[in-house]
Amino acid sequence: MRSDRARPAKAWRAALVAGGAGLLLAGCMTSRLDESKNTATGIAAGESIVILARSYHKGKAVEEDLVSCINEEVQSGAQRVRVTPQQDFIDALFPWFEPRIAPQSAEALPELLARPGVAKRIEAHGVRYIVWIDGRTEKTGGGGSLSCAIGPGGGGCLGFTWWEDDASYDAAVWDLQRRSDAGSVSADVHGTSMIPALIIPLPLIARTQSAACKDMAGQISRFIRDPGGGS
Amino acid sequence: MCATLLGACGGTVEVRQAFPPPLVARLPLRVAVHYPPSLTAYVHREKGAAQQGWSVSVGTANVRMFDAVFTALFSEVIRIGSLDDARTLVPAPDAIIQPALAAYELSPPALSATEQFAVWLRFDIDVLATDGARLFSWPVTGYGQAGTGGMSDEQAVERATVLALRDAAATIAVEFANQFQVRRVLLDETARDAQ
Repeated sequence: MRSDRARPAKAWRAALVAGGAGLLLAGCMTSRLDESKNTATGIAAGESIVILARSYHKGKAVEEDLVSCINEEVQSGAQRVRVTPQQDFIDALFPWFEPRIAPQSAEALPELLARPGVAKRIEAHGVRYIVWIDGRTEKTGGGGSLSCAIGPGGGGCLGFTWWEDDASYDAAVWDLQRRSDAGSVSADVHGTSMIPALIIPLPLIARTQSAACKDMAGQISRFIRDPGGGS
Repeated sequence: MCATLLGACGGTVEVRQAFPPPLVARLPLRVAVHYPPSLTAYVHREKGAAQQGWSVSVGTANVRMFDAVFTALFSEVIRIGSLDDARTLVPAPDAIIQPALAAYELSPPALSATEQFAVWLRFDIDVLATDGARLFSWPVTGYGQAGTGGMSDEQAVERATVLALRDAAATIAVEFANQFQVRRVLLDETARDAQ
């Protein structure tokens, strides 16, 4: 069977360990960003991307607010990329991007684009790339104890509690013009939140999902705009 | 929040969303469609220890979904009020289609141990000859899930129901033409008639 999947002639993998640990009322966070590019990219005026969540039929669903966040972030900043609203795209191509039926790999693109009306409808929306988001933010640990009390003379808290979150996401980028897998980017953000309390609790919250959203959006924009590579 | 803490407080939901027409090749079939009252007026009601007072009206959404699919899938669709009406149609239709919603299940976050409402449903789609004889019955399932983040429990239930209906619609739009009886009986007969 013929495969149109592009071979990574110049595959490269950049690993960035952003030791961006911040402890300014924001807990501790570390980020790891990866990119793998199979083919040259680029986007012309009038072309757009669509950002979709991987099917929940395959397992755990990607958080809808994370996908919305990436949609918004990709359209902002110096490297912004035009984004076609995901629901508009899914409705226009119904039923081909419904969770049960959506293509599972870029190798299915030629067959999909050969279906009556599909290529024409995608062209009408100006969509050049499909970006599939997969992953979750999950609590991975925690401990400590904190108790609060209130009485006639006032109230207060005493103790220390903490928890860890891992936000792990990846985005597969399919080039509809080349009908191939252009590559992928990923972001892993580990955050530790804590609440020390000596009468007054002082929450130090690590916003791991928000950080992963910004990291992913930046990676996706650079991946698409930079013909030879991302960050 | 209510669903997470108390195992679903319940609510009333009417599914109002529209359904897009599927982008599929049209089949050269003239069909009569009968929507029985059990489909058009379907209301899911659930009361129990864990789930209190959910009422989900799916009837009009069923009709909108099937109308969208059948209009795109067949060259001509005639909606009939009863199966007997099909006998009076001239020329006779190639088939009569009668869908029924056989099952609707709602799983709130507390029962599924997730942050999602999940809806599972099953349609039984009867395809009949013009004399009323059943050519085949096709069970079609649909599944949808929607989180409670950023929306009320009612909105999440409606969203999950819409996704389940879209899932079923997608299966019908893509798979109807692949059903053995459709290929062998309906499409072959149509080809012979055209000769």
